[in-house]
Amino acid sequence: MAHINLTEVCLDYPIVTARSQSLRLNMMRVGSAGKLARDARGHVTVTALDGISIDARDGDRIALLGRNGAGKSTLLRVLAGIYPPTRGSIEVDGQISSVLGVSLPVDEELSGFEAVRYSCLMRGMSGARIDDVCRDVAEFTELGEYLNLPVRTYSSGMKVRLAFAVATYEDPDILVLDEGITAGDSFFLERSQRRAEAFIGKANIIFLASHSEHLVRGICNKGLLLDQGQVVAAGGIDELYEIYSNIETRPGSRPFISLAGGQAIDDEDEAGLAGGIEVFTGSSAEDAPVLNAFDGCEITYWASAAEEPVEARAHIGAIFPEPVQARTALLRQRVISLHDTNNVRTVAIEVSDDGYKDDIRRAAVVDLSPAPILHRIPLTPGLEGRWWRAIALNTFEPDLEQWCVTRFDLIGEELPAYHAGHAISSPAATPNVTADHAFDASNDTPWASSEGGPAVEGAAWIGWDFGLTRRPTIHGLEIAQWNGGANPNTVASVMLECSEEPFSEHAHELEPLTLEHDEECRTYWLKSPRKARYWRIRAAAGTDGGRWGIRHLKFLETPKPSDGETNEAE
Amino acid sequence: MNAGTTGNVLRGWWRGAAFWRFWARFAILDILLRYRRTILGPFWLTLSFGLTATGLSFVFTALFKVSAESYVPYLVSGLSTWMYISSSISEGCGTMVRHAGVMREYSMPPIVHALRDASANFLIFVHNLVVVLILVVIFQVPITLWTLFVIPAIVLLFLNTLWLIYFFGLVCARYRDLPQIVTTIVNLAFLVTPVFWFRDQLGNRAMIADFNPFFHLIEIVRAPMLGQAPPAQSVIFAGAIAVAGWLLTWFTARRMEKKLIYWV
Repeated sequence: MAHINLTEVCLDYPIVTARSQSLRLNMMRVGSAGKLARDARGHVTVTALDGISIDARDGDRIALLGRNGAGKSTLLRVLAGIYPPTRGSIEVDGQISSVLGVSLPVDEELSGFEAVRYSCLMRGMSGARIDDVCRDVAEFTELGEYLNLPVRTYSSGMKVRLAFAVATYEDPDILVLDEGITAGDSFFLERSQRRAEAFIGKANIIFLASHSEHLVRGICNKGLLLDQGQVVAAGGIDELYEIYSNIETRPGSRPFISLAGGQAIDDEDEAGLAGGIEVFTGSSAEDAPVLNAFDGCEITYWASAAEEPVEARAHIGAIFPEPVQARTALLRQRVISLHDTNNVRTVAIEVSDDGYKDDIRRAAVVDLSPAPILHRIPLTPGLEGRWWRAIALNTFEPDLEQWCVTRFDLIGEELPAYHAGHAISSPAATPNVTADHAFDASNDTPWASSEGGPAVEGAAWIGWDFGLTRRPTIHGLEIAQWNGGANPNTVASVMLECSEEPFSEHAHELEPLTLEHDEECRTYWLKSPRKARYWRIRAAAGTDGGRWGIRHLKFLETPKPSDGETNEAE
Repeated sequence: MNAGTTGNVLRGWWRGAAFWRFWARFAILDILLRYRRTILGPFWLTLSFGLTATGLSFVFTALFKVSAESYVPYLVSGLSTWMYISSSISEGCGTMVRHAGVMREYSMPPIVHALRDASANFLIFVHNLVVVLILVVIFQVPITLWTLFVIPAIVLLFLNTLWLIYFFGLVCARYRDLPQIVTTIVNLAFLVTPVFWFRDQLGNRAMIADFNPFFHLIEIVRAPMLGQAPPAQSVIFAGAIAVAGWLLTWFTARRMEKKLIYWV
């Protein structure tokens, strides 16, 4: 019976460079989710894994979720026995087989069959077994005659099939798969799922790291959510994706932020906790433009209207008359820095019953690196207490810190969240998106705002995730804009996009919409309706001076009324 | 914490040896791939070494004014051995870095990669030995009982190249300046090692050879190839190098094996 047990596994990854460590270091700060530190001898290390404990038994098919750099691949390599952990212990009972890379690590001049044979040798197999593998691989991959051709002639999908077939032939007790295998096509997915099902029958363990939700759902029955080398959540796949989506950011663009989530706190009826908050003692609380927040830090304040940045550890929080359960925290930050990066990366949300003396429980640890925006932070459910706070942890180079939080809200309900960003209300309740129910990815310039509010100044998105189960067929959209300033309607061209995956990679550009120079609500019909989970419109960068926003947006799921009635904007 | 225990290192080496199917086949593959789609295949090794040896013999017999019968077998047997040792060292410097891809995807003891490269180098050596064999026949080098000593000598030489490859593979993965230094030293060593010339020609400076480990490593193989008894001091010296080298390698492996994966 297979069994694998990790106890408090930590892995500090030394970065060995002769020079230019600072360059590399700076890149790491922006890009990686791992934490940088220096070891005793002054070498720079990345804490790639931090106190990971896993106990996996027969039948566990575990997905590793998390952003790039969260530690998924490192953990897989620890599981596969390639990286020895710096601290902690691993006990393995059973034979481990792994597919960590897309490529077969043999020369591509070799034919498929030869590559299989040599791959088998790498796995320590011998003669007769290798013949069996070749037969099995031929059958599984259905590559046919291709197996006699050099591997360099294969597509990447074919190579993956080959690697996967070899790795899974053995019926290993424990199978470790890295995300490269998502390059496989749907055929492969189906076949590998069948194979995966065979594993379940044989009661084995699978670890899979993948960004493909489809694949994860097809293969895994539980998961771990990693962030900064720590397990931040564990449990069922559905649950984890909900949480994941909250901490997910997409590279190359800003994370989506909520409009109404932050505003909701103003409305005491809607926000579960807003009514109960009592401002705690704190020097700067009076001056802060922040509602419902306080500054409890001795060193400096970080919830401030002035330009005072955080310089070391800092706290902000609230005390409630009765113990409360907060489910979501909203944190808006501002960066005051020449480097234009946020150097306070890590914020923990903590709860306590006794004023943070002994009984401190951690509700979330989040990375705030990307940009000065509003972050929506899901909190560990079930935690209850009178004292709630966010604490900014020490960062690597104190002299670079120029950062403050301009808003911190605790909300008693779980705000619905989606992969594409954060929508505001349940899609089931309101299948049509209006401006009030949309999300926004612009920086500090909400463009789906009421008239007279701030307007978009660069590229911006607004859109909707229809949820895990719904893939609506969109026939058209209603859209209304507002114009402000001396130079009205400078953003007149908007692109409609849809996607099956979060927008980072797989957006389909559908149709450009040219908005009329007025503020009337108009209906646009797509040339052909389309079915997808994520929908959004993207405004191209506006010229300067433009103040513009979307006042109303509604995706239409009903077909265009047959004839005569509306014919505008085909 | 970072240093492995004695048992761990030796167990790792033993496990590595047990991967013989892998490293032996990959050693062959490495050579085959180099000559893939050529007509002669790996015999290009033999041919090119043969041509080199012919050219050098032609020049040096004239330079030294010695007879081909006495000089050519000496030169070729010594040169093939020298090339074996020097290429082991210079390739050893890159062993771990070269096989980083495999290392990152398969869990194998790192000595496996040294074994792979050592075997490949050994196979190249064997190809060059064909030339030596041909010359032995052509020049009717006497076959004596000492000729049999070639076999244990080559085993000893292999053990020495193996630790050289593993040792330099490990330290050069960490300190990337070393390969440059090592290459320079090996080139220099060639000049002070009796390969083209004879130890006796050094006259009262024979110590240049006598304290040169390369000379002894070459001599234990070269002498029996020429049907002579290898000098006892060379055999002792070569044995001592093997013991000292493996101790050094063991000591290095204890400190470095575990961290290797982060360096490559």
